[in-house]
Amino acid sequence: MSATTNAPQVYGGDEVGAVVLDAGSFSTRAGYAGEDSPRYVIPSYYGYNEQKKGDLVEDTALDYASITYKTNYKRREYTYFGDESIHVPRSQTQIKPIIHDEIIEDWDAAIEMFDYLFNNLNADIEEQPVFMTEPVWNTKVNKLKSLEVFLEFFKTPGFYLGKAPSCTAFAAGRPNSLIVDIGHNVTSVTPVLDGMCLSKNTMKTHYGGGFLDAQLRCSFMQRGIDLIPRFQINSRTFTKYSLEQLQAKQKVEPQFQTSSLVPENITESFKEFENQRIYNEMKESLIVVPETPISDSSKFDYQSRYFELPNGLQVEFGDERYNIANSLFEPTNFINFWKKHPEYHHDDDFDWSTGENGELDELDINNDYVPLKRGKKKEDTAEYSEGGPVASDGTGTNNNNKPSNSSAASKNAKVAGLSSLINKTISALDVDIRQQVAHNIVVTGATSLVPGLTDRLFKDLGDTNPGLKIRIHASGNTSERKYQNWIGGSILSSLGIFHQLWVSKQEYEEVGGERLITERFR
Amino acid sequence: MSSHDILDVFNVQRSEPPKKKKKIEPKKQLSGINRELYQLLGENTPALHLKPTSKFRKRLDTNSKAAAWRWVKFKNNSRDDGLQLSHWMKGIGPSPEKYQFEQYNQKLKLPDPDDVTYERLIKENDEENDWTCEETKYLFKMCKLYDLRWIIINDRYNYQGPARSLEDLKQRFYSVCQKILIDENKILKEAGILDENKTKLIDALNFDKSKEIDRKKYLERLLGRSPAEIAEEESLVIEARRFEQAAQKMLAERAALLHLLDSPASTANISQYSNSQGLAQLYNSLMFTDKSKKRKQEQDTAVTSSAGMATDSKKLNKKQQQQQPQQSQQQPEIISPQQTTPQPENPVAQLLSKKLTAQEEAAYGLSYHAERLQPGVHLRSSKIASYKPSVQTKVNSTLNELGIPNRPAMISKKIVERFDILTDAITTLLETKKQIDSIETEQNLVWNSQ
Ligand SMILES: Nc1ncnc2c1ncn2[C@@H]1O[C@H](COP(=O)(O)OP(=O)(O)OP(=O)(O)O)[C@@H](O)[C@H]1O
Ligand SMILES: [Mg+2]
Repeated sequence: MSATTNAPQVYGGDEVGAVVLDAGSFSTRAGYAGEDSPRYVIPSYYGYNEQKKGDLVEDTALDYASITYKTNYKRREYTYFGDESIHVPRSQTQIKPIIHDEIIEDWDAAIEMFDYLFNNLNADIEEQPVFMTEPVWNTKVNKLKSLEVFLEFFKTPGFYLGKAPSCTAFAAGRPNSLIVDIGHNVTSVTPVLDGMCLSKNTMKTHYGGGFLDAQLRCSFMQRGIDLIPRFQINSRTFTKYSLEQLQAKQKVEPQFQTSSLVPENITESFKEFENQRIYNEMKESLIVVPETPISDSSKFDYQSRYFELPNGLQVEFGDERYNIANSLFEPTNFINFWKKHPEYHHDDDFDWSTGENGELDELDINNDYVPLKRGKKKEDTAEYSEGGPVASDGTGTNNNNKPSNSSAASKNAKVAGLSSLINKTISALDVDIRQQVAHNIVVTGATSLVPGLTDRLFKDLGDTNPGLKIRIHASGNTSERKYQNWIGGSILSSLGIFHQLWVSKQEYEEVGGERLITERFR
Repeated sequence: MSSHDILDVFNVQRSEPPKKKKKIEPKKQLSGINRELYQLLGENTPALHLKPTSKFRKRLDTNSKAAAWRWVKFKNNSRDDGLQLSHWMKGIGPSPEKYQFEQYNQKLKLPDPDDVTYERLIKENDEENDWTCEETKYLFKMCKLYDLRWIIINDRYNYQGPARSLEDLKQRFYSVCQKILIDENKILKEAGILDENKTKLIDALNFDKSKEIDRKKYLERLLGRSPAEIAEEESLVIEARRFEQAAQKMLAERAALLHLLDSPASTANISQYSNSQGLAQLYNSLMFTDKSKKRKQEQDTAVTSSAGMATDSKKLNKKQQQQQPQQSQQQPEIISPQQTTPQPENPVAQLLSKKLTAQEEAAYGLSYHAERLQPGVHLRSSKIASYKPSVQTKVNSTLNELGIPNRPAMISKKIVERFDILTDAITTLLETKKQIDSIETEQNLVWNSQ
């Protein structure tokens, strides 16, 4: 906090101690405006202890009518937040998501999570305004709810919902750009003009980090390996499981002893949550995006690599390393595989082959026929079930796409990979800004850290758009890439000229939420 | 190790002995590693010496009192709700009346059609009659909200009515603005205070929707080119530029030629040379420059001779070497006539000196040549005339076109003669063609430029 009030500094900063929240579907980031990285990054999940809840005589934690946040609010006794407590194995404790598709689904848990963060940040929330990021497709209901929660329940002096891509554009220093955010649940492509998102041109799919997780899980299932999370293991001896052994259908038994300290009745969701840390590690160190698309027939040179599981099993991965990462660009390969082998579909799995509204049977994914002449423009003419333009309820911009239209289109829809999603977005833009936007493609989100991703993207886009000069900007700094949304929010809410945009309690009461969300949160 | 040692190691000759005293400035005595480094520079002293003016890091000033910073509430007058936030402020004085960032809260001034003006000005003879007053007002509100960023307005435009394109919105906005401005102008005119800029603005508001759509179509086509098309276009552009340059060069040459043909216009005043005194002066100055030039040359040679003995002797050797081949070249010239002049005593020569008929000569294969021959045997094919490589290739290609081999297969004397005549003709014709081409292009250019 070093802004002087006497002379404006070059960047025009004036900090008011705002708290910045960036709630993603994988992790939630929180910190103070003006700082260069979030202070707390916690999972967007919470532990829910059913046993403890059952024992409670009286549960008043959610009785908001009788609670004031500052004086008598207390988190539920049977919920757990933050890395240091959520990973502790407890019996009958479910892990539940708070946020889905970047939209807060479980508001009770979200309030608890924010309380957890505010406490950790030592924030005096009645004195400090709160800046929160929101996706372009945020719903009106959700926006109104956030206004209500922050202004009426937390009683923050000011509250603002900033569009996540706008924040990224700020963090990247490119007011006119195309923000490609490859996160956990969602991969989205958003054109930003003068720092404002074009909601009608925003596209999203579900092929992000979670999609890769599902494939990694599947490749263990195919090998017949039961993943044992680290907390269950006491000691182990290393055992190799090579590709040759896999091909020879040889079974390899891991040598390990389970820990006796683990309580009974550990839930499946907790195990899966802990396994996700293995997938995470694999995504960081194992998978690689190949330089060129992989068609089913062609074989390509690959280097195999061993990955060590918590139970001491060292598993060799060959072309899967490339295939899995490649699925971000060509999701159809895996979707077809799952269609053929439903046994590899995990119960909790999201139905990847469909969008939010597409029907599996009627999807015509295999139809690769494209008239010769139009072959190059394949992406432009095809319709997608996933990756349709999103329209937020809040601004209600959906008057051009008739709903009847979109359901008809989904019948012979095609699943969009990352490159075609971007291509489609660019070609749908107004011609006047197309060049500029193509020259400022900002790649962000933690899944974009998979090695080779930006190179492949650059090649794909260059091939399909010869008339445009493509430039991709991806921060080389890992934490910057992961937290770019938050950083942008931190910059934005520490600017002197921003302070007229906070929505205050008084305004909220006078003007009303409905009008505020359309006119203020633009 | 000093600079001299280094220079010696690299065997670098110094033109003059280094002057020790001069280099060391009395003001600044360098010490330690700095001095060593400085000496490494040798005579390449930097042209500009910058003395570091500021220390890299300011020393902490512990004597002065720390500035007071306070966490104070402030009011931002850009807001209507009087929200008070807190920030850090330096000093202890009262907080300023105005928030420093208020000044950046700027809004566009746009016309604001209300119901009355709409009824009065826009409703009747409205060409775009599918627009209602409500929607027009909504459009203006959006324009104001998004500061005329059309693409964003189009993105957020959400009115229950007919679907509107970006161009529709623009056209509506500009036409309504125009109408309102014309009305304002009328009032101003009546009052007698007409603003020139406003009249200009009204003209500028003529928005042609179809033109805009066409422009976008063209742009779209431009962006949708295939790589082959782009490559072709680039090569065409390069070629066009080359043509342009050639034309320019030719015009310049032509202009220079014409300039030469004109009588040279003297640039300086010649009146001072009109009398004998002036002429003498001119003569003297010319003499002087001439002499000084000569002297310079002499000096140059003197310098080379005064350089070390070794180089001198080398030069001498070289000179001798150069002279020797010259002599050896001259020798055969002297000897050859002796060899070729027939000995009168030789009987064969006597026979030859007898006149033979042309028939006999042909039969014996005898020939006489006017030019002096080189001694020794040579092949007749080596006598075929050859040209500069550039010309030769052209000749060869012409021969190819005609279906004649580049070298005759049977090299008899007659064939070689004829072949020489042929190639001679070809070169002449090629040259002529080139001239004609250039004159033609010149002509075209002159005609075109007129
Ligand atoms: N170094 C890495 N390489 C590859 N993947 C990574 C890396 N680090 C994290 N991930 C993965 O990235 C995903 C999280 O990305 P990110 O934090 O951008 O998501 P989010 O913003 O929380 O989610 P979303 O944007 O979908 O709402 C997780 O699936 C995680 O496993
Ligand atoms: Mg994200």
